[in-house]
Amino acid sequence: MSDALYVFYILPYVAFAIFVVGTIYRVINWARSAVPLKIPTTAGQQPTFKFIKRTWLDKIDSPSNKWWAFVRMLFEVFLFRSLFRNTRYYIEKGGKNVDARWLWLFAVLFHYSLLIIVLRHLRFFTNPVPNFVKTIEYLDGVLGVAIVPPLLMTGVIALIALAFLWGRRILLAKERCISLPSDHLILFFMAVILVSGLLMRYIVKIDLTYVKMFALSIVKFTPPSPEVLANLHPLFLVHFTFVCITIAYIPFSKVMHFAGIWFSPTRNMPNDNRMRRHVNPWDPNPEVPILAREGITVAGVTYKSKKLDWETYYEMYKDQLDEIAEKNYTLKAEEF
Amino acid sequence: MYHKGYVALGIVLFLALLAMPYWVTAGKIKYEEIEKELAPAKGKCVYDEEWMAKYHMELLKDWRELAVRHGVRHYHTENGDFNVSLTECWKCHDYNNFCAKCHNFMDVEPVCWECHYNPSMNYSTVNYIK
Amino acid sequence: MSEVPEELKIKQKFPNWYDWIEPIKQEDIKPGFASYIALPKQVNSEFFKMPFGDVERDVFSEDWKLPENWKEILLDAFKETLEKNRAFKVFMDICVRCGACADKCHYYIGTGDPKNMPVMRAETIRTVYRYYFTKAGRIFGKWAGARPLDENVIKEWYYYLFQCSLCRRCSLFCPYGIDTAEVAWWGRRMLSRIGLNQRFMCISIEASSRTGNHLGLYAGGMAGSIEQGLSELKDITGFELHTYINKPGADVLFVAPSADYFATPHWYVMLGYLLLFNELEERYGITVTWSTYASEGGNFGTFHSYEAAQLLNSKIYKEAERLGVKFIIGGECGHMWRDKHQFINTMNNLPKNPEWKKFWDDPDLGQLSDKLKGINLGEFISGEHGWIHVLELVAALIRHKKIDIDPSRNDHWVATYHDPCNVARGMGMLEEPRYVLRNVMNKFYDMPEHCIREKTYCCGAGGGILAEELMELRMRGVMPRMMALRYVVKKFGVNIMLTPCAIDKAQFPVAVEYWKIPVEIGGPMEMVGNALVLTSFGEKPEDRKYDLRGTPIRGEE
Repeated sequence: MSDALYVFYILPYVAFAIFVVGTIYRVINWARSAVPLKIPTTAGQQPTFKFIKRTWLDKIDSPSNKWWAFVRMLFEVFLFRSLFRNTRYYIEKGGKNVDARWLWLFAVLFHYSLLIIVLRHLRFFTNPVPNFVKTIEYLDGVLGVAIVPPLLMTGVIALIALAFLWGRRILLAKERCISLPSDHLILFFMAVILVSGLLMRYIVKIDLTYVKMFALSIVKFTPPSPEVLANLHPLFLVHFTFVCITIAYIPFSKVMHFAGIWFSPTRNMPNDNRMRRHVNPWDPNPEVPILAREGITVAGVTYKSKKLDWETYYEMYKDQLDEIAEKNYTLKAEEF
Repeated sequence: MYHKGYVALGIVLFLALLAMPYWVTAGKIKYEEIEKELAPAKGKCVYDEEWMAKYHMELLKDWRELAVRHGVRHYHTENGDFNVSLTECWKCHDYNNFCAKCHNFMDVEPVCWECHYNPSMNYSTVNYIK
Repeated sequence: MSEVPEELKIKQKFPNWYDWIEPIKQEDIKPGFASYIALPKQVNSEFFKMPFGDVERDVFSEDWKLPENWKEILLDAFKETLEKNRAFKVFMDICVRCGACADKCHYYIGTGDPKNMPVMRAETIRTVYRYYFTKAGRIFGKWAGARPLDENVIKEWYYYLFQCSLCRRCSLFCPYGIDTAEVAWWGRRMLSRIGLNQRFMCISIEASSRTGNHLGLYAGGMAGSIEQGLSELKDITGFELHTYINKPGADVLFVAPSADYFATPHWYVMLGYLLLFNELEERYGITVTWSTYASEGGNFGTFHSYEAAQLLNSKIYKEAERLGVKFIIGGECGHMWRDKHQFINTMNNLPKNPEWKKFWDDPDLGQLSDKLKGINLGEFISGEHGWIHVLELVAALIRHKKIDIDPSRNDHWVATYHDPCNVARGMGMLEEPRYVLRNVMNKFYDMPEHCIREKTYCCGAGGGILAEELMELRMRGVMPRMMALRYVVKKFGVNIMLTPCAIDKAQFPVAVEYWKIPVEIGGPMEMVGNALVLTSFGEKPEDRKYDLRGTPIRGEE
């Protein structure tokens, strides 16, 4: 029996290997595609003549160089800038756009709670525990000291936000309509993880010393003793297994948005098209348009368009163009 | 592959983030079989060991309520009679080598000393007792 | 117009994923929403040849006459697209279906068709992507949100990708910047590989690739049209004005969307251009030339595919080089400025003429005339691009007091300004037109905050949707804009909506008639033309009696 429990020791390594390799593969796979055009979504006043005022938000939303584009990315990744614009259109209210930033609020709460929860878990993976982890946990629990153990707000907030984000997928017609099974799956994983974690902390107490020894054995690459494994609580094993499944599932799922957003050309490119030419890697020297140069080849047949250069154009409309030249290229009001 | 520099930087940062447990401790993670290092108890505990390991904080919380709210000072279990008091624990357990050691290992700050004052111990107390 | 019902009912439907993942069927393709498929004369022309364009196809018949091995061809094109465009690939992968984009689309708002939500429009392609390009999709099929290609899927793509006006409003609200315009644009490119091209845009693309402009105007026709404009200006101002066309050695090339030569209310904008150029020449000696070869600023190729866009915008730098101009001024047009701002200098090599190089070494207008010193285009443009929007130029001229303006000549207009989607979200020109309008007129009011500037609603006809057969879709799509317009009309008594976009100017007159809003449509340059005092010709501010539309400026006397 105890030997079989070593599966749980192997599991995180497998999950992490899949996660790391999968994520890097996805990232490199994206990086292998060309960026043909510079297509930032300009969400603010463009860089222009100096007398036109640009606020700091304009500088971020319509970045004039790589530095501001980087700032825009930081705003996008860490503050969910675009979601902060969210509104909801109510057709039944005569087309009123109602502020719907609650989506932003719950998204921010959810993501940051998860981040803090993950950082708090460092207490299981480090020994001695670094001070910043203690500080985070102290601050996290500062509102919940009245109960034993102190109520950590991020856990509760994450659960509420999750309920909200899942609730809107279930209760709101539009969101229910666009949700695929995979959208519910990842939320289900998160729900299991969060609920089992909260249960372990507040209701079904488990002996954490074994959990920490198990966690340390993972980061130290030293297999734990059978005694440690045997004393792991089933609820912990559920929690742990779902964490591993989720981690391994990330590269195959929409959770890859955490990496993909960095590759989003509408966000990571500066709005400096008129300052710097962007070179298309698969069309670096477009002296002649592709359609007239190599045409389109489909199923072995090439479809090539005739090039309308000036000479061709002049040949085609010679008399009219000569007439214009005769007028010395000048147009005046018609005489009647 | 395009933008190799940025992608490499991104991957390095990603891996660095995953390796967080190592660099936040400067690589010094100590594996301890903590159960074996705790000072053995000198007697039988209120309930059996396994239960105590998980729920001692609940017991202390109950004891607090019993003592402070209801004035109950005696607690009877099949393991014997106990005074409802924090010091009762230290009859059997060594504070530093048992309680504190394990709490440090788990990074759990006991909230006892935010109210209780014990001059013999180097623990910060909440100011109002001063 | 007759085909649009008097009353539009918006029926919102919310099928669950299990239902919508099934493609639509032929009978779901409704008139008023489906674009006609291009005819051989458009896509099998000498100057614009698309694969399998030699067959006539009918969008309302069961058989779309796809080529025999269309599936292979399409998957090849899909693979190619993934390799050629990172945006497309990333957008296939990272959507979390949060729904933030859903009610930001004016077509979704107006039709209630769930597949018009940007997320669903992209999902019609993503489902196929998952099936052929991801393992999970292959293994779990429908349960992983994947579906194989069949003819109905292609019909669904065609139907919905051509119900998108590429306005990018969804991309603004998407937390990952997913740009449905990009997905739709490259999706249309894939469809063009199996012979499915939309007729409306291909008429213009073909005309432009053959004659130089979308309308298919020949050189003489264009010149005659401008001459007629000059005659009208003579009536209005009393001055003998002139302009140049195809003139080698001119200082500046001017490129406007071809609709400005003929259509109303574009026409008044062209009169505005002509007044400005005459004043500039008379006062500062700047010669601005039109070109019959590069007579089209707009670019319907940007609705079709990268290659088509390149085919059309390749003429302009060539013409700039041939004429030996120093820089290029662009007229009022929406998607033109997406093309001219973001695409043109990537899709083409820059002009190599010495004048161009010399000017851009120190791009101060002082090079053209000492009196213009201080207007430095180098503040945001370089010789690697060389285009300035006419409104940006006017803003600078006003700021530096280089032209004389009498805003009271526009007192009979109460204006609001509609940001064209591509100018707002593909370029970022938000403040300049407003700066100009506040200076050239006294009564200017913005529409509500949620539908102007970068959040602007599309006119519902961009991206190739200006087709007659899509009238119902257009009238539905324009609805959010019309509601906002109605609001300012009631509140401020607005009587003209100005927009620097040729497609807007074509769509809105129809739309305000349908939605029964008593406003005129115009362009900012028309107001500039009204207010511009031709000081160098000896005109006094009070001299002008009629505005460019021929209506008396200060009421009947």
